[in-house]
Amino acid sequence: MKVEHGIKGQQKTKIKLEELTFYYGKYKAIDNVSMEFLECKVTAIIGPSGCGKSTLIKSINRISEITNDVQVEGKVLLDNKNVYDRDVDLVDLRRRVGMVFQRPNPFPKSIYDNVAFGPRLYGVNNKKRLDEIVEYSLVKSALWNEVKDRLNQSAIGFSGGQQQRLCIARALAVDPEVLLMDEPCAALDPTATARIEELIEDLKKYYTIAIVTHNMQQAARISDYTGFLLNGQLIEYNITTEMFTNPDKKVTEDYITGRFG
Amino acid sequence: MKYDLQSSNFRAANMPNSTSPESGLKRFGDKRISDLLVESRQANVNRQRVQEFIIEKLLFAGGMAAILFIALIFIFLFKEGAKALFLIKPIEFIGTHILDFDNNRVFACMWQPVGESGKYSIVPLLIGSFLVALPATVISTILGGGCGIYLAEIASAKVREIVKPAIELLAGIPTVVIGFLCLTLLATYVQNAFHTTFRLNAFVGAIGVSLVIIPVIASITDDALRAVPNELREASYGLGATRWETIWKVVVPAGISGVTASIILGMGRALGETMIVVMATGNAALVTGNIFSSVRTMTATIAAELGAVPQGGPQYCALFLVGAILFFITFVLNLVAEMIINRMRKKLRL
Amino acid sequence: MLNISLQKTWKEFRLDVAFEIPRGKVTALFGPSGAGKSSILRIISGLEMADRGMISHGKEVWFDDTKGISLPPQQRSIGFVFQDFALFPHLTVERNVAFGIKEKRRLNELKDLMSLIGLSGYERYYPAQLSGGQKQRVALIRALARKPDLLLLDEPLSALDWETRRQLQEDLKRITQQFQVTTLYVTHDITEVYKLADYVVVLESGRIVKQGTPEEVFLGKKLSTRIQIVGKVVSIESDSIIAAVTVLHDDQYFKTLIDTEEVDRLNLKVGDDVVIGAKSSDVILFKVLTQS
Repeated sequence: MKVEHGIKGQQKTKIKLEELTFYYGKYKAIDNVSMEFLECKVTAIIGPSGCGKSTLIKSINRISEITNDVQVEGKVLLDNKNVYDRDVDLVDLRRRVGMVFQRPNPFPKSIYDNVAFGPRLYGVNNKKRLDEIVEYSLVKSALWNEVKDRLNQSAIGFSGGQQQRLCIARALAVDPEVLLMDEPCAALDPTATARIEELIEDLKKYYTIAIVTHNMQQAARISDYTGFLLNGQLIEYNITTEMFTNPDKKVTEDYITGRFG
Repeated sequence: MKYDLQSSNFRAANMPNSTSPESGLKRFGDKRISDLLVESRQANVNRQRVQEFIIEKLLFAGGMAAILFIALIFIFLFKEGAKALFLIKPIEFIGTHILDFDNNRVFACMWQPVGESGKYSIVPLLIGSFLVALPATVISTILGGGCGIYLAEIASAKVREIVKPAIELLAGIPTVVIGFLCLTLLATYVQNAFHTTFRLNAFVGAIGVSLVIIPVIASITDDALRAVPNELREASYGLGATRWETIWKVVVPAGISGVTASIILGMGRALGETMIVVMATGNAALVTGNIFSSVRTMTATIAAELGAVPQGGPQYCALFLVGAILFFITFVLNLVAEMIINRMRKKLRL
Repeated sequence: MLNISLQKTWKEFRLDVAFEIPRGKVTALFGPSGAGKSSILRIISGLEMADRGMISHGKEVWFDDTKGISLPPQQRSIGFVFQDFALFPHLTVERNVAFGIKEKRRLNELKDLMSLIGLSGYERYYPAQLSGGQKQRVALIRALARKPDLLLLDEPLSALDWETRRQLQEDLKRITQQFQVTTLYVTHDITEVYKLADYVVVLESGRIVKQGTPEEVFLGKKLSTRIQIVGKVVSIESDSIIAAVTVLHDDQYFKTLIDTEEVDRLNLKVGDDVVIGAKSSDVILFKVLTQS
């Protein structure tokens, strides 16, 4: 394996956070963060529990607004369009920015219906077209070979790893541009984790991926860029290998070498 | 703090090749899935918005209606009840001075709403209600609670399948039937067993009422205990506890908020129960502490008298006041139950 | 010495194992999820029954289907620590620990036990007020408080984040050594096996595939090295002669140089588990042999 030196070509910025500050009620969860997520790259957000990692990625598809009283300052630009503008269609935003959660959360429906859920919401009812979309999404999430003969079975009896890949397939079925993953492997065993990591490696060819993890090793393995968040502030943001081998800040070094947590 | 990923201070190793998001995506002709979805949505979006707007408003109206009905009942009850306070001196709701057989003036609590000088003391009615409800609650806590514990912890799946529906069936028996049985059969047995003066008394009523609330308590207790995580039972066995110790020291305390809720709900039902007490308690408004004496509950009083009194008169209004008080008691009971449960939940974070 | 031989069949899964747990040592039961590790633990503790087989502790028989013996859990001298702590939410920390102590006179040991896990002063707290790491320490000492002959740990650290996990690994090691208790430790984490276990039994789909000391099992050879570091390869930078391999161990980085030929021979890839061993002078590197 040869090391590539230098930067190959200019990368397109997919998402740009500009001085983003995020409040839950009076609590400041994100404090003036500015960073970029590059297209077709995996960006990992690391940091101790409660540092605002999840909030940060959930601010991109505005999903934290569902349950909480939130207030936002600054901008989140998706293809240079602020997602917090008043004319933004939330449904379309969430289609473009898919999300995978910590615990696999398939619907208590058949595999087929799980994957077809999104397209059906958009009014796609053509059976042939749905079939194609379901197959495509399951192939992309590396689940097709395991489930193609039992698409009508319920997803609930699956192993955690399979459920999580099904959730990824479900997110892919609406053809998103960005995938947000909130500790997608936290509830999985190492074998299942390895498969998800392989999948992420494959998916990043087509999608911009932002992943929250508390597992340093995972961040090191799968991400191209890593941001270190502490108390809602972005302490350091860099190319992953650089961050892990040669961190700029003392506090980053302390965290990734496990001196505090 | 700003980081520019494209500036030269990223003299990075391992910079991945650039790829294009366009390659390898599913297409239908020259359309991506996303184009398809966006088109489809644009065709439907207006209809969808209208649909959602209507559904949202309907659900809102439904929720509001429930609140509105309660508020209306509350207002009506208290408006009519308040009139009683103008027609009758408030002190008379506790008792009046009457002349006894020796012509002494004594203060007595009596419910005798008929005639020119009707007596409107609600004290005997309150006593009657609680003299039925408290024993009924005790009986059904013991039997219903025990039944719930048995169902959740001891019964095999097969036994459970038979017992649980049977208990729920008990709740479905019309109360008039239970009242009838109390009146004809149970009252006789009780009189023979305890040699009571009154054949129909509070105790007979309490047994009848407890038949109605045993299923409530059993069912909720069962649900509450089965919600206790299995690992707590296993942890207890793993620490050398026996089955009985596990039930008594771990499972029941861990599910205590549900059990408490069931008991208080049961008590609310007992206070509100009408048909059984009308038929089984003898309906004599006495001030007594003896559960073998006849009593007259608030519910029975309203049920028996309201149909026969002229609207707007003092008795009519007094009955409304009794209803309002009953409403208030049940309301407070539910409130207390809610508070107890919340406090326990908070402490145990269940 | 605990002798175990068990067979049990579920719908599509068959468990068939026989092994020994040496007295006073930590034995790890290692394998992927679904291999049957937890079931073995539950059968040993008596929470579940095997179809056939025998479990004996010294001369005491806990289970023997041929003689129809099956002691209930409370008569087997065990302590069980669960993945999700399973502390009793309605009891204070102190009373949780005291739960398993049957003799009244031993209640005065509580103070020592609390200080052993570094939670003196937390006696009157409720479990809900503790952090994950504190809860698991309470669960551990609760299991040990009744002085069991056998301590069963079911992935006790997997519900914790990695910082807490590493700290608890140290505590576990210290406390099990202090109690000198025979321990069976279920885990799917190779690092934990290396850190804590004297012996390891590797389980795969209901069968034992290997057993022995961690070195014998994972490297296929005995190592006489002074230091052994288990970790994951995070980067390999190689030219035609020499390769620099960076290994992540507990979020510490170790970089070592080996022949490029060696990298090819081992078919070493980023993400592999390796052991870095250091003799007094040389640093050597082994690829961990895991099944599947």
